[in-house]
Amino acid sequence: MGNQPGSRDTVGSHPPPPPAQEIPAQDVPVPPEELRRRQLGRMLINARAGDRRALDEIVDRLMPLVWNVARAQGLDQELAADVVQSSWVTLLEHLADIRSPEALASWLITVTRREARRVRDGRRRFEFGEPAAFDDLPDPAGDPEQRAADLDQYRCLWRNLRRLNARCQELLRIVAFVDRPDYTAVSKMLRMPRGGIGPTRGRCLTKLRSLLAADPTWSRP
Amino acid sequence: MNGPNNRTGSGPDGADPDGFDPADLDRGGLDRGHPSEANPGKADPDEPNPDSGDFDSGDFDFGSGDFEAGDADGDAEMDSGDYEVIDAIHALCQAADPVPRELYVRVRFALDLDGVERELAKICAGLDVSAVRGPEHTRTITFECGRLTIAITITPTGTNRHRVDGWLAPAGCLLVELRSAHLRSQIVSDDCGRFAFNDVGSGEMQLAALPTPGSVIDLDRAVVTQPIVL
Repeated sequence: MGNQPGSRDTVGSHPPPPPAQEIPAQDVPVPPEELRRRQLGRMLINARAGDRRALDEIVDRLMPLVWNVARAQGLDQELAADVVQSSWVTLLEHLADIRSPEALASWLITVTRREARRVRDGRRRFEFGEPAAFDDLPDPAGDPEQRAADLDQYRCLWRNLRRLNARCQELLRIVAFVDRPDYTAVSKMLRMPRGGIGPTRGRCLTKLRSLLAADPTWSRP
Repeated sequence: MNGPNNRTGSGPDGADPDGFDPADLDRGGLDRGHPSEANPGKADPDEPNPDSGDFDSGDFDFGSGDFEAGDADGDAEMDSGDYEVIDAIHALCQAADPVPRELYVRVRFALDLDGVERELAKICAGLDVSAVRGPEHTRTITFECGRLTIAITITPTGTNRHRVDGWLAPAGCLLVELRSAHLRSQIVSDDCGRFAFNDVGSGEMQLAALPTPGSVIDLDRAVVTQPIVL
C-alpha cells in the first residue's frame, strides 16, 4: 500500500537503520537447552562480578540439582538441607575459581556429594519416599484422572528404579537434573571413564528401560 | 557386559563395575583436589586456565564439546527413549521429593550476610551437622573457624524451644552473639570458653564471635557461623 507520506524511510537525510541484530548468523536454531546454558553463563559472569541477584538466580536454577545430589546419597531431608546449604556457602567462597556453566554444575555436584557422603557415613540410607507417600502429594493440576494416571506412572517408575543398584539409582537421579549440554562434562567429572561413563550410564538406562518395558503398568514407550 | 574391566586397576579392589562401591566413587569425582583448595574443573587440562588474566565472556566457550573436543560419543548413544526415561525420573523426583520451599529461604539467608559483614567475618561451615537430630534429640555441631572452634549442643526444652550450650576452643572470654529472625542476644563466654543461650525459638539462627578487648583469644575480625536451623 505504498509508503506513507513522511514515513521515515522516505526521508533521505536519515541514515539507514542499523542492522537489527548483531548476532552472528546461525544456520540452525539454538536449542532451548543451549539457551539455558548461555543464560547460566551470563548469570555466572554477573555473580562473579558481585551481582547478588545473579547469584540468587543461580541458586534458583541449580537448587534442584544440588538437592537431588544430596538426596541421592541417601540423606534424610534435614541432613540434605544442611548439606545443600553448606554447598552454597562454599560456592560463594569459591565463585572466582569457576569458569563455565558446566564447571559450575560439576563443582556443585562434587562438593555436595563429598559432604553428603561424609555426613552419611555410618548412617542408614533413607529412600526418597515410599510409594504410599504419593497419595499425599498435593494435586496442582486439579484434573483427577490425569492425576491418577501420573501417580500410577510415578509409582511404576519408582518401583523399577529401586530395582537398580544404588550406584545406578544415584547416577540416574543426578543425570536427571543436569542440563543436557552438560552431560558430557558432568559424566566426565563423575569419572565414569571414557568407554565407562557412556556404558555405565547406558547400562543403567538400558536396565531401567527393559524393566519398564516388562512392566504392564508402564504406559510410556 | 563389557568383558574385562581395567579401570579399577589403580585401586586395591577389583570391584564389580555394576556394584556400588563408595571407594570407587571416591576415586571418581571426589579425588580431584579439595574444593577449598581448587575447583574440580581446574584439574581438567582442557579447561580454560583460570589464571589467564581478565575474565570476560570470551572465557566461555559455549560449544558443547569444550571439555574434550571430539569426544562427544559418550552422549551419542542416548536416544529419544533414553531422554524420555530421564525426563520421567526428573518429573518423579520433582513430584515425590521436591526441594523444600524453605530451603530457598534458608540458603538466601546464608548467602545474604551483607557485604560489609562478609568482608569482616569469616563464615565457617559447620562440621558434624549430621549429629543425630530430631525433635527429641540433642544435636552437637562444630564450626571450624580458622584458629577458633565453636562447638554447640542444642537441646530441645519444649515445643519449639531450645537451649544452646556452646564452648570455644581455645578457651577464653569472647563476646558471642546469637542471631535469629526474632532475636539478637549477646553473652560473654566464661574463662573456659563456655556460653549458653536459654530458650531460643525454632528457626534459622547463627552465632557470631566478636573481637573482645582483653580476651586471651585475639580475633582480628568477627567470626560468623553458617546459619543452622533449630
